[in-house]
Amino acid sequence: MGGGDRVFLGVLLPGIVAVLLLSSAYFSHGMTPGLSAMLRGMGAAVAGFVLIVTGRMAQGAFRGAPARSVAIAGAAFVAVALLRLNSYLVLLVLGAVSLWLHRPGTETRSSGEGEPAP
Amino acid sequence: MKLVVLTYTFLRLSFLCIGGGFASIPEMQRQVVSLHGWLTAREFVDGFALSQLSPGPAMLISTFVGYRVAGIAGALLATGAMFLPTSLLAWVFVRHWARLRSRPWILAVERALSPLAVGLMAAGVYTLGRSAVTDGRTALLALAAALLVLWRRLPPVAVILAAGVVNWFLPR
Repeated sequence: MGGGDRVFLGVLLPGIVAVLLLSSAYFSHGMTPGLSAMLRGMGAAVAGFVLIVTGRMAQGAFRGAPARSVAIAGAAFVAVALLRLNSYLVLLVLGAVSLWLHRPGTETRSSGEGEPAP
Repeated sequence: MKLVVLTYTFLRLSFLCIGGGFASIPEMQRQVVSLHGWLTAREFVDGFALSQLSPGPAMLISTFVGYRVAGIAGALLATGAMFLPTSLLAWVFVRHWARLRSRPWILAVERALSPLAVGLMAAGVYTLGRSAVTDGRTALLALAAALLVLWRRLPPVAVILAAGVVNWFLPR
């Protein structure tokens, strides 16, 4: 059995089966007030959880070149969340800008960015 | 035709999974709720919450959406479309990473994509929050869940389930 098979059987398959069962129950049995309240609570918790995952990711991504990284992240957020632009377009345009800002040779200059001048 | 559109939609969404699947949430919501009308905004959040309860990757919401659109066939196609391209890409990168990691432009691409992923994920938080946090009670639950995962390092599944149970028992 290859690594890919093991990943599929061990990681993906149990999840797919579980979500299939939950989806079937969700769409066939309808929502009682109690279940609806439970899902509302779970949805709110999921939003909080994704917030924490995003914060942890930001810690790593903003290390080294905080100013340009925060600018790119902020622009992506505004474009997708507030202006509701197409994510592919945002990825293409801001990806090109970000690649230019992070191009080889800029990393040494950026390492001191955000730190107080001596 | 529905299955083709479903598969194509999730194939495209899989390429937005930069730094993890959460970066694809805003576009997925746009496609699934606003463009195709496969789910309501409420169902999208419910499906996202249910998929977080299951073992496995975070983006199993593709299974939930696929099931809604075309039953088990839809679920399997959407899941395959969501995971196959990124799995293949990851496999190729892992095989060649030792050689690629020393290339300056590969490192530049990695550095360039990280903040973009953060921005897209933050947009995902906003997208989920807009539908999930609708009053003071849900705001408190979201905050409590975030703090419990952050400070107590509790398993997210336990926190999500607990939030559901608490909201069930609280008087309406």
